[in-house]
Amino acid sequence: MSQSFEGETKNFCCSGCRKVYEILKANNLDDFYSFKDKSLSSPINLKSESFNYLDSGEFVDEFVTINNGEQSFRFYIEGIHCTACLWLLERLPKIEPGITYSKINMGTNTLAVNFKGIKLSRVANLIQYLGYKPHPILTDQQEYRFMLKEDQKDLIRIGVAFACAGNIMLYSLAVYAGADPNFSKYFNFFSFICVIPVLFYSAIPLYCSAYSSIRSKNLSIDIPITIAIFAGFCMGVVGLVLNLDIIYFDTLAILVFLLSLSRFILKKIQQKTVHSQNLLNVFQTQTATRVLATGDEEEVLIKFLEVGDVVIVRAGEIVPADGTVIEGKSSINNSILTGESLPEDTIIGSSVYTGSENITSTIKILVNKKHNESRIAQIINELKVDGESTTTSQFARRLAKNFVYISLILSIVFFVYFLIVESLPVALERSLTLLVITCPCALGLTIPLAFIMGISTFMKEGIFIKGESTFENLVKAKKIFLDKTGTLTTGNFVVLSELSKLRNEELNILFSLERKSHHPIAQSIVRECERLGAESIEIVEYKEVAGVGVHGIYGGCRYSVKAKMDSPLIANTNLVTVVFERDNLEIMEIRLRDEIRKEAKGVISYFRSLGLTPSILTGDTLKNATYVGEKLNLSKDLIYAGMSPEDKNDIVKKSENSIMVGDGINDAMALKNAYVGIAVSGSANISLQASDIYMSKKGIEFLHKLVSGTRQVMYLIYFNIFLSLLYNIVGVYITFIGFATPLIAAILMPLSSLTVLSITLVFFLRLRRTLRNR
Amino acid sequence: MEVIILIVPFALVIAAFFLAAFIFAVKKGQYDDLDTPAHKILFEDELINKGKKKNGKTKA
Repeated sequence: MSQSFEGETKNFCCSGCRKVYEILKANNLDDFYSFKDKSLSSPINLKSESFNYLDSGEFVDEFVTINNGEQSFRFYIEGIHCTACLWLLERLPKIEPGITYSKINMGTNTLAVNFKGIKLSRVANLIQYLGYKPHPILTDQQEYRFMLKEDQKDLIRIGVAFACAGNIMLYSLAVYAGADPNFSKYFNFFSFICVIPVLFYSAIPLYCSAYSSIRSKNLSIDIPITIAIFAGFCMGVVGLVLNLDIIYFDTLAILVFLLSLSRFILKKIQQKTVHSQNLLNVFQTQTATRVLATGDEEEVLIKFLEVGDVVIVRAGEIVPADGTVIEGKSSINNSILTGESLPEDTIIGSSVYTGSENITSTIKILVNKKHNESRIAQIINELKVDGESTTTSQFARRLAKNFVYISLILSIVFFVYFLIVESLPVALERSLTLLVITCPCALGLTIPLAFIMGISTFMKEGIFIKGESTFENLVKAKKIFLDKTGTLTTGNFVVLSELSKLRNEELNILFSLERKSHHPIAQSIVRECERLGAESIEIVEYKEVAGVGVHGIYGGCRYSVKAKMDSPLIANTNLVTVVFERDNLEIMEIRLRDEIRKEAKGVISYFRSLGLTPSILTGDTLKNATYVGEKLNLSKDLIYAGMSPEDKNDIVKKSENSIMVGDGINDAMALKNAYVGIAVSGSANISLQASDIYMSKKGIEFLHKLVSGTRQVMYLIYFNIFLSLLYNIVGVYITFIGFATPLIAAILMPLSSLTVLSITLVFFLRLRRTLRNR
Repeated sequence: MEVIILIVPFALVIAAFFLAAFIFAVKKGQYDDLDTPAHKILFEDELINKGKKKNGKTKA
């Protein structure tokens, strides 16, 4: 495609590119092309969306920050590929003078905009016009700024600790190397000056967490660390004044620096994990088309719908509210609530629920519940009452607690023992050495590090693990409840009949008839026809009858594709049969089946070998479930079919240590109550909240990766614990016999951490490679 | 070796200066977003635009 501009002929690959060129040129922004990356990935498929709901008063009040008449808002932008995108989006103020500020964060793919005198929908439409898909971020802006401020504070604390610790190391190196007494006194004095900002600024969060753990009567690693810091500081001051050789400022500073650094990294990675989960919510900003009394239509966010509103739901849209149908006839896919794989018919007067999908034709609904009282919202609330699930590993916490007990008790024992046997300075020195040498630093560092690297490793594979305890629980689990559709089967119907036996013309008619329908079975037939090279032809008087099929007229004959549900042929299998007819005479019977995944059998036997009993838990019919079960060698007592949400919940609750895999709202309660709940791709928001793990891809092979990977991570952790225990026992012994001075303790401590750290890093390099290659 | 008595405080002052620079950078928000600035390194649109207007020519 080419067009001439000012006498120059330009070539474009598509009308989209030409349009972009026109916009850019009109705004003097055609430098875009000098930045443009040759390897641009293909633009996302844009479904034009109107953003009018962004302008409603309720929305602005709740989500838009207003400062001096300037409004600010953040979007998550889909479709940012390269530098050119960044350049273009940051030039928004040049295209629309109402926008005063526009800044992209490539790390999070978010755009922050400030604007004045224009509507937010104008901004969103402009972004869409440029070829990107904006998703409004519905979080509090204040909260976001607060998070940034906290990060800055942490960074400064770490920076100060690092600068001071570095200098102290230089001074103490001179002292250890044997500086003469005058110089060593001088160096120790400077160490003292440098250690003050570390102890009284950088280490404050440590004291706070130690204090709060004392208040909640919970022993944490922070308590002995705080004690060691204060004891070490007091000893150092005494040593400085009395000129004694008990100054260990270097140990303290390094301790504080390493601890705060590892905690900061931990926090950042956790934030990133949480952030990606928040983004999942962003994609679910749902709007509804409300019909006003005047007959006009307007778009609003579903949370602002009121009882008595009338909304229009078009084919392919999600039902935005609980209500009754007042106009139109359609079929509704309720699978999100019931797990039923085939759509249900609705007529005037039928009840419909939020979250189900309207498949065949447009209906009008009278809203009878506010969004927060809808069936979905009630389930959400029920789950939220339980509060936050514990995210830190029970195991690690218990272990650290015991460690703390032992090291505290031992150091008191040492102090008393050496006070009696030897003298006060010796007693002080030995008990401090013991506190430092038994400080579960290696443990405190590697356990969270292993978990976090585990979380981020799986994140790269599209598996989001919410808490550290999930790793342990996965290993302890005895039973795994699998969802049939999507996990064991592909979720796509496969055409079994040979459509190639049809004549070309018939194939084209079949293709054109089914092409207009949103029904999953119709779409499978369309895919098969496309594979056989069918072409679209004009069908007149096309009509889709919900729950029955489609029909239309071509060449004077009436063709139809109808469901044939109760044929005796299919009584015992997972088959669905439809009939293709001409003038009510059968041309062909088309049989379809939900296909079982190739990998399923292998993974099931792998689970068995680990002592995990696989089981099918589904809302689908027993007939369909047994078929799948037989194919996978699962005995009948392991198949639970026709389950309601409550049934699923009961079964999961009854069996101890069970993993539950599910997606729909109907699974949410069971996911919450399962030992480990795994929500798979396409899950309802609510299931995501209820589960411990979210897998962005469907399929049992990802479960395999997850189960084998988490086991390896746990083995690594056990090994590291063993190593640090060994190190600590040796440490206690050499302290007791008087071989270890605080200096040796201070050298051994980072050494042990380093060993464990490098083992962890090497392990994850290998794990990442094996996961990727599998 | 007595010179060390002078050098050490001097080194400390230099260290303090760099620490202050770091704190300044953090407070200015230079560490808030570590990904985007790397992409912006070649942008100098204001200058180019001025040049363009004078020439009245564009490149595709």
